[in-house]
Amino acid sequence: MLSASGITLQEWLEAVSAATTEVAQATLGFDRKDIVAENAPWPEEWSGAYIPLVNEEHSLHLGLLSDTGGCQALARAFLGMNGEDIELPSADVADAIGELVNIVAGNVQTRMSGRAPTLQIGLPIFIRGYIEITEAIEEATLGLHIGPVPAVFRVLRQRP
Amino acid sequence: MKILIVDDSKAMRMIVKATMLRAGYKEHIYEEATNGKEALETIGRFGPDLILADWNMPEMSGIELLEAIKKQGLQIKFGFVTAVGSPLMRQKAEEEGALFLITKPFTPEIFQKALNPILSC
Repeated sequence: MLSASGITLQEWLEAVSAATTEVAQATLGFDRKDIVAENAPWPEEWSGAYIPLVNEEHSLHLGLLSDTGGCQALARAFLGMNGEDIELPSADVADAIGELVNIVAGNVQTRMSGRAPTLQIGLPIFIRGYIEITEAIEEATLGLHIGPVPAVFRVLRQRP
Repeated sequence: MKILIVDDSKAMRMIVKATMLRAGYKEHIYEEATNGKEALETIGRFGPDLILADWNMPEMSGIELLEAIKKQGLQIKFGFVTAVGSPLMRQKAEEEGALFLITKPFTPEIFQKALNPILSC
């Protein structure tokens, strides 16, 4: 579906996909070949961080979700602790995943700046469990493996 | 030199400091603050020569911190390390006196390029 500026949900998702690939390489240390799109169904109890992208025309949330072990693995990778068998405190996992999604959002904002120039990024929040999607919201999801970690990126936005 | 790292993310503060050390800035003294408001309080007791601040933070953003420092007439070198670096943000940062704006993700080499001219003074 189109927004007033003509940006489809799929286009947002493509920007998220490209941003995730770039950030996973630069920040998490994975090779491009290790980041594989995979449209598998995802369990609703997964946890993850959501971040708002808002301007006068757009109101989006980007979310990066995985299971408990996946969030731990992504957080360890983000903190440069790849290969270490350490269980991070949940607050540190939430902080790291929130910052990771913040960097992806920044990359998306840059990619879309020509078509959505005044987009502002809010603060990330970490949510454990299911978010009910109401009729006012439309969503697109991107299933992917970031290295060995199964993950899903969600784009939620108010219906135009 | 005393360096204050300001970011609401503990992970990012850790990564910024680790990147500074990897970039070779090991002889400096580091302190941390979680937002602009806490940074202003820390400035009084720590007396930083350089501040590396995130832009988007709760309570007081990085640009509000820079404006407050300017308003108080404090002579502290200031740079942003942030997730986004739109042309508008870069312009605003420059207008307020920021010396650089580094966007995440970053490398030790990017830090060296931005910081060598400042830290070698």
